Amino acid sequence: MSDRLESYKCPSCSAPLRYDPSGKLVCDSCSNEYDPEVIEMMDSYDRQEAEFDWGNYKESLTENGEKIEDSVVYVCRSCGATVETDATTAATRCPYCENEIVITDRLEGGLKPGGVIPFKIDKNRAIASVMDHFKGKKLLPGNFKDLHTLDKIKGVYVPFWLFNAGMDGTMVMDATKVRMWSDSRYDYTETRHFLLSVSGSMDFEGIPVDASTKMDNDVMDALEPFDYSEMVPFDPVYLSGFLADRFDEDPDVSIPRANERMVNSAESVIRSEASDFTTVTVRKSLMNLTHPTVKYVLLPVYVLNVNYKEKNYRFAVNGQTGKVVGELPISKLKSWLYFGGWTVGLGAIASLLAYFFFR
Amino acid sequence: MKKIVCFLFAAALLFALSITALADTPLLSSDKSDNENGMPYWYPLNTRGFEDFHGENLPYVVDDADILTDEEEARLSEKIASIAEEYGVGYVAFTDDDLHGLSPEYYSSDFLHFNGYGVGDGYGAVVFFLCLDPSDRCWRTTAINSYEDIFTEDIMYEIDETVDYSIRSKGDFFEAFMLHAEYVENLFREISATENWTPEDHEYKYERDEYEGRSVGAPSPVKFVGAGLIVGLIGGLIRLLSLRKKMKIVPPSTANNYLLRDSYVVRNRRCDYLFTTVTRHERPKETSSSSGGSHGSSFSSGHSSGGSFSSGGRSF
Repeated sequence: MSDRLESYKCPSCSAPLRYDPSGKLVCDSCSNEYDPEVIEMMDSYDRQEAEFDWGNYKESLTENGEKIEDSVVYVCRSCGATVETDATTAATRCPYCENEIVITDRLEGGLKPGGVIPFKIDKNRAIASVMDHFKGKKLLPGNFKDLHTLDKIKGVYVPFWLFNAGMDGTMVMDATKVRMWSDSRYDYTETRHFLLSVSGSMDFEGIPVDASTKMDNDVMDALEPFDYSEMVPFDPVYLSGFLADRFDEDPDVSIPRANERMVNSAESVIRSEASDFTTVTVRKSLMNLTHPTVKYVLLPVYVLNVNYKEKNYRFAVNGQTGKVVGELPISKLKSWLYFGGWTVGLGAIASLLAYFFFR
Repeated sequence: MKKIVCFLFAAALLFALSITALADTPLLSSDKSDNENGMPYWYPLNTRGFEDFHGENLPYVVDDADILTDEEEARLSEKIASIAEEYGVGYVAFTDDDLHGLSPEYYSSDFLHFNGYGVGDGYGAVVFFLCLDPSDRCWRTTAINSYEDIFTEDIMYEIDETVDYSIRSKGDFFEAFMLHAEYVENLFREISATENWTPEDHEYKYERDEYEGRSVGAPSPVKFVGAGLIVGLIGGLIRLLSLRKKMKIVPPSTANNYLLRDSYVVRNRRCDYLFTTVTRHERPKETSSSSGGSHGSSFSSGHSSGGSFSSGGRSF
């Protein structure tokens, strides 16, 4: 410890600390005294870095390399999407760009997924969900709902990576407890500062990240949650009447998104251990990954593309729950009308109230 | 030896006479720097046993904060002089930018007492004090002795309403002084015209002033509309943003849905005390921000003159 003594800084005022014969570390600037063990622990935490090593997770993913058999593979000439279905389903339009797609016999079936959640709602229910989604959206252009494109909605099995991992983390926090009192002349505030460290572990299972570059990541994330209890082993029979997209985004690309969500959750859970303090500031968050695995699955999504004023608006419907996600166009006229109406209405009420109460 | 004793006796007599003279004559003629006790130039060096007296040739305007032009000072002085002469009122306009540690009520009350502004047998007087001390910018109407019965809380409120707009909204101190003088003039005209006048006889209204033809003290309707418009703009913007938010996609930022709740284990929780800081802040002074202001009836401070006063005003 003595080698590093000169570099230790006072947690209160950042002045250098001095070793005192009493066995304490003393700050000559603010006169605070510290237990050397605590200061050394703070220093050690400050020098540590988090590790996110997903190791050889791919071995668990492609150990047999099995392909989907007896499927018909379509390729979109416009956007390059490769989708497949069974021999009984005729597909003529790309679910992503609505352009013509063609059958190719040169491509073999895609990687067989580790599981699939079959479609639970039918096309009519999906259309009804989309119509419900439009309700109450006061800034939606009036003629947007009248567009007769809802019947173009298509059921697509979207490829997802499901990430499973444990989080083993330590959070070091600067915490305070505040006490206040007053006498006849002054208000006093006493702030006691603590160094709080909490270590814990937890497991995450099935964090989904879509594996298709054709699907918008935010849309797919917002479509959650899926009920994994209804997941079944893949069978080509589930493709009947639906299309299945192939993954074209490597898990390595998707890992940072899964990491970020896991870390946010883990920090939130560990931080809740400091609820008895007045203020808590995270000094260091050290989250390490344990036993990571990845699973490739197909999840059911209805996709609807609406072309409005030369812009494509894509809506996705969770084929299991009916949840609808999609950015909606905003009417400028309605925006101004709402803003103006509220400003004038609220302004008039506020003026009258002010007049009656403060005149 | 005899000469020395005579000289010492004469010096002592001269000193005693000068002290007596100092107590009986207004101190305002002195140099305006603080006295040797660190108090204002008009403050007696010794306040023990002080008794009210009638000062002579007292100025009607004492602008120690130097906020009025010479012309304004002359016009105001002329106005107050006419009131004082017609109704025999002890009335002065006073400004200062240093309270010397006293409250504005005590400071203005002491100003009246120690300079002998009181008139008649009751030694009544009233001052309109505009304080520009950085620690307490305010105005006070302070009445002493017999005038306390005239300048009641309701009257003080009416005065505050009268000058409020000029000071707080326009920053026109001269206008405030003139409005105050007009109010005092009207009040004493009413008193002289009413037999056995009491504050209950006063009609609590104020005539429209001569400056802008507006109702004095009543905030402009434009202010209400302006304030309402600001509230409306903020409300409209919040409503629009909330409507726009419904049109957007909000992806989740956590993986809480995928956390296996039973899997969470706290391996270690350690809490080490580091240090304690204690800060203190002086409690805010209680200032009168609405009608009437603070009313005092007796002094307990060693700095004060020992007389009574009533005072009202607001901060700005």
